[in-house]
Amino acid sequence: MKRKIGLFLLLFFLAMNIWAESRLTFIDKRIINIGDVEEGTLVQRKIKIKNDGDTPLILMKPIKSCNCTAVRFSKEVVNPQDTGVIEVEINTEHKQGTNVVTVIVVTNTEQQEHVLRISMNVIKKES
Amino acid sequence: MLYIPIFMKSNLNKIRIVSGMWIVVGVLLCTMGCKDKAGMSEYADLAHQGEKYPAEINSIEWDTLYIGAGATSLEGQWLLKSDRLVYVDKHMVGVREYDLDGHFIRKKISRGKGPDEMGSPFFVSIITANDELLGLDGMWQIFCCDSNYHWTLPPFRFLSDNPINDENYEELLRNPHAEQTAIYEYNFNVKKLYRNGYLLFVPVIVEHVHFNGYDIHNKAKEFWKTSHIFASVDLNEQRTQNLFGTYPPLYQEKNIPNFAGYDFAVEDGCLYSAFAADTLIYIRDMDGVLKGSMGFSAPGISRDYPETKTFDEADAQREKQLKKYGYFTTLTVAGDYLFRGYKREGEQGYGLQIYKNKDLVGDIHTKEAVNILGYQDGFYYGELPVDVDNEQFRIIRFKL
Repeated sequence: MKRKIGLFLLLFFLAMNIWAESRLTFIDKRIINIGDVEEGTLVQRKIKIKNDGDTPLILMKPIKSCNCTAVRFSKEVVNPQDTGVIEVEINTEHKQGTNVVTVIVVTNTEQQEHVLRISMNVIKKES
Repeated sequence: MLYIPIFMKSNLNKIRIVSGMWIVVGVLLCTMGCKDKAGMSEYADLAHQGEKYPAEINSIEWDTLYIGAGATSLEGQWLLKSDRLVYVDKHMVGVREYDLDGHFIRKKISRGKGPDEMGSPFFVSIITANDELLGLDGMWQIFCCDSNYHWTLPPFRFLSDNPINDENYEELLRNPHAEQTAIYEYNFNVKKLYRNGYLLFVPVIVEHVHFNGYDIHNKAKEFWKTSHIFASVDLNEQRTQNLFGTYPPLYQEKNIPNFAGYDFAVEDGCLYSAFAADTLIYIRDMDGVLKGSMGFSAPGISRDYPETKTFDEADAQREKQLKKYGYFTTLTVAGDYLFRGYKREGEQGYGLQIYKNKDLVGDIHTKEAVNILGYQDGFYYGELPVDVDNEQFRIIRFKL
């Protein structure tokens, strides 16, 4: 009897693990409007995230919409219920007017891709 | 009968000379009277079609479907299939399908190199008459897939059949002209393609350093006169078949590259094209030959656009000019109507002209830009600008 209960519990936990997954949640806003910035400013933002899932969240190489953007992860593997930070740095040199930078974070979640969107109005530097 | 003066009748040589002179004069008159094909504008002697009627339709009431955009990049394209809405994200690989009430159905196409996967997202895409999805990704690869997103043709690179290489680079750099396919690229300002059987119509543009519409001291005038606006691509042979269409004459009168955007729509064997600064809508056949024009002016568009002389000037003025002036934006065929969207001057909002059988039958003033998606089951569908703060798409549905 004990053996049967033990076997049942083992199978139950194995079954639960099949549905275990990582889940990325943005603690800070993922859509950011910085407003006016002077051309040449190095815009920096840190966006906090959390793994609300049951398995480690893996952050893979980010895909940026612009070569003016640098992206760094505080950690590439975020354990369940742990937090991480995505740092974004945008060089506004030679930019003018409305600019929208998109960063796609590719992960091992079911959704696979998560997007950060940073918009700004770049004002030309007075020469 | 050649006229030969009486006093020369007796002199055979003089007769020959005079006859020869008449022949030369005749030949000269013929050649002067005939413009060479390259110099003749396709816009010459176009017949204008359609009438402007007192607006039958001057307002529309719509329902709005709010669709959550949390799992998207907020930038993409909405398309209409026969029984569902399709969202194709511009930054994320994949398409999301919703029913016609805006409820999520499924997500298809993943990022990868496997079957039915893509390495980069669609930049522009369309739904064809058979509910196929056809599009161009950021690497200029053309993808064709069926209604379940299985590829029906192997992807291939647009304009790759005539690439720039070591042999032709210097020539293309120093002596660009409109008939060189290699200097063309996809026109990213036009979010549309069209499939006509095995041919794909693609909007194209040249932005060559020595052949573009910006620098009036370079070749801007020649650019506006000769550069082409469409390419037809043979999907079976994976090659560019033809370049066709040019900008309307008004772009030669004034250098206004910031207002050179255009859109197009196809219906009943006619390719309609509308330009930002032009009141007229031009009608071509499926071979790209211009057949006529239609269209009327819209309120809030004075067309008093300022000229720019260089790329830097146009770039610096672009955002300000697009806010200040009114211009035409979109062109869509849906149901029985042809819709042309436009922006009014300043903060006056937007408008939507409605044409039926080439007659203007309606003009609607809207607060926000409306992009018509299509017609299904008695309803016209359109989209409003994304509500970024609430991360929501807004799809509208109305009847006429």
